[in-house]
Amino acid sequence: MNLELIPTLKAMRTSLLGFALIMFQVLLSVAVAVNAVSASRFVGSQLNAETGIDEDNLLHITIYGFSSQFVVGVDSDNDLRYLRNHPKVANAIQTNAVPLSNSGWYTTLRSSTESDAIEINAARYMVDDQAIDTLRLELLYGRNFLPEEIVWRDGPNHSLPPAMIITESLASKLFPDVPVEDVIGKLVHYDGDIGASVVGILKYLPQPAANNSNLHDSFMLSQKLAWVRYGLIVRAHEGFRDSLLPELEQELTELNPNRIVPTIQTLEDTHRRSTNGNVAVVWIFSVTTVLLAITTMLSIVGVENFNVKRRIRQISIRRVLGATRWGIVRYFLVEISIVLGIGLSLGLLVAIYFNGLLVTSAEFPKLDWLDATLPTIAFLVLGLTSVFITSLQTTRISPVPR
Amino acid sequence: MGIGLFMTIMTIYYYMSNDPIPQKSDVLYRILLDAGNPDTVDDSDQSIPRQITYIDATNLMAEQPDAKQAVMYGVTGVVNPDSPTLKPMEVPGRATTFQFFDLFDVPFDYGAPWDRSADESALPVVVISKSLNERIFGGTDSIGRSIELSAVRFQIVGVLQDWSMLPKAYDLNTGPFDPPAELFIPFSKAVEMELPRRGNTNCWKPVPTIEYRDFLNSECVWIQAWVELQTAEAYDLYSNFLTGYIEEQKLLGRFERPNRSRLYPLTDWLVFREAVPPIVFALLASSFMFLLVCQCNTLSLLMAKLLSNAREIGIRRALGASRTAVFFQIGVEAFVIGVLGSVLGLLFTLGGLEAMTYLLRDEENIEQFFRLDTPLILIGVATAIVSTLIVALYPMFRASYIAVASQLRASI
Repeated sequence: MNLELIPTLKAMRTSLLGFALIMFQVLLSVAVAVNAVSASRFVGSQLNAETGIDEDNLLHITIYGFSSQFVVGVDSDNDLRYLRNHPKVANAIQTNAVPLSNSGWYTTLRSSTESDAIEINAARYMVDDQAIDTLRLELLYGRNFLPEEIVWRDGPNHSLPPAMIITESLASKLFPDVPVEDVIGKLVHYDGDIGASVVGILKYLPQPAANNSNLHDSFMLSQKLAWVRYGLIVRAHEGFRDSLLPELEQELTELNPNRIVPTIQTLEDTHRRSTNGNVAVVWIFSVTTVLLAITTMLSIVGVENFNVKRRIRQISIRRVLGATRWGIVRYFLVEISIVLGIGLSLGLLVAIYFNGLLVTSAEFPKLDWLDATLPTIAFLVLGLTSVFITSLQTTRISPVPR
Repeated sequence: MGIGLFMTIMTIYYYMSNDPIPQKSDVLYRILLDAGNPDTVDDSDQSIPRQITYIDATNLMAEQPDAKQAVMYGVTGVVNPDSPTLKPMEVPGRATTFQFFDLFDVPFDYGAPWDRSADESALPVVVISKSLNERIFGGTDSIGRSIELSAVRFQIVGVLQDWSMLPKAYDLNTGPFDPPAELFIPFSKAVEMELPRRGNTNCWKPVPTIEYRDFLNSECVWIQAWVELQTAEAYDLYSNFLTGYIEEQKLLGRFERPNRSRLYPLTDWLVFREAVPPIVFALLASSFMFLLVCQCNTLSLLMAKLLSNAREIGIRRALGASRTAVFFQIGVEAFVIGVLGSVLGLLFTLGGLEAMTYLLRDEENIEQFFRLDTPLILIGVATAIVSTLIVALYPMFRASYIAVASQLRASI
């Protein structure tokens, strides 16, 4: 097909500035949009990651004993007994950390005591045998803790916990050469050389760090903290969560005057709080991208409108000389395609350069082909459409020169 | 709109990258001691522990009694007010030594910091924030009165003015932009009471038992240390002291890593710890690009207008207007566009900040980031006008060089 490339290019020199500006705008827009799409997809995938816990029915509570009459270990067990007997409560546990709350306890696990052992930093939960049921976790292999395995971490009767339950992702990272189900029974070391044997493997158990890309690198130890400040996680019976929250706040406060209830929240709220910074980032990027697209399109329409007006004489002469209406429109499309083509290609190069900077400085993910092609195609389609519509007015130009 | 978006992000950046204590940021130093695991040493500063051990904190305080320095950590306690109408409440606090207030220029409404002897004998004295004083004592001068904090009676020696540091440079672990502590108590007293800590604790070596005494004597790092060094000599003296101290401790079998301990200047510390997350830079950069794209639009609009008005300008020139006059005519037009743009932009910024406040409504303290102040408004207006004038330079020159004759001839 003869697209009259050379004469088109030569003709473009007459409105060089307009085209150069469009090119520059397209270049910048694509460079930003590609990275914005990439960042949004990355952050979005973290936001939508499967948590594997019954978020909709969970509440978490902080208790803080302050009076000299408060008895560490005993008062927390009283709270737990009260909660487990509550008619609206399905189950409850005492814990040192709350999933997705952005505040927790991390411990380095080692696959052996040798110096070449694999070391993984993981979230540590100190809980009893009701944790799996309270959070509604899925146990893939092995078994739950046994009641007799639960020990106190501190206080007069403390001892070391014999059992550990880890997640599938942790099992495959600590023992990459063994099938996951064979990790059951292995000894895993923490806090130096203390060992505990793996009795169960969970599909998911989210960390407190809700925005961590290794969300499910967590483990549970069969022990409870005996301390003045402790956490409780409560699973309400389906549909009772919201009515339970204010009731529990009051009942727990009245239950024991030696401690207070500084926080009681739904896990849903907590999860949202932990991630709203990322949600804001996605919004800013999206708004920027949309505004960029609109501005660039407006610019293209403006410049083309101007070009059409300026060329009315020229167009009617061409029509007299035998050019079809479609031929004129095609001329405009070829023209803008050249501009968009150069702008988009250079824009992609700049985008890759920006991405390089972001990967090193902000731990951004590397661009993949989808990040790059989506905005490029979108800009191409938008650009061509706006030029097509603008240039349609040339079809009304009569071949009789004025 | 370009100005609006740019300014929205700029506002966030402006507050996040704020110098929290400009009059002193060049004389305050964070003390870093490399008491880390000798097996995991690498060349980057990232592997130096960010906090110090209890052993080192007490040694620094004991061996440098004349230095203006403070050690500190975050605590949480329960204040049980004497008034029967108030319920006991959990209050975030800071355990520190008496020079903290002097170090960070903390302003007092009533009273003054405690003195050295209170630190030495772990006295139950407390400095409370203005807001806590309002909640418990209705804002009156409460010096000499006492509050019950986690079952211990504390004598109030000072009430602060409304004070917050953004970012909270002295301890970035408890959220750089979180509200400041509500009460300050002597470090030694907090340790004696074994108050729950707020912040980050890092242990590379196992603690033999879980007794608090063993925790204190462990290699766990959980304390922040700051020193003010006014002169280069003072700086040299203190760093020599640190080098000597490390050598001394090496003889005791501690500090098994090569000595990379150092004094980190406050502003560098904020950068190193990424008080401003890199993503905010990325957002700022992308909004700046958007501003550029918008200004490209301004340029092409100005050019289109110029070319369609070429005849008019030609006539003006023919009637005797000088090149300079035409030049400035376009300049004035651009200036008006810039002013209008900045007004619309600021309105847009207000909307944008409103939207951000809504998105981040759950964060504490958030309203502090999303308000415009005079310098910000000036930056916004200046950016709008200057950038518009810059892009208008080209049309201004083009206009002043429009040939008189050709324009007239073409139109006849």
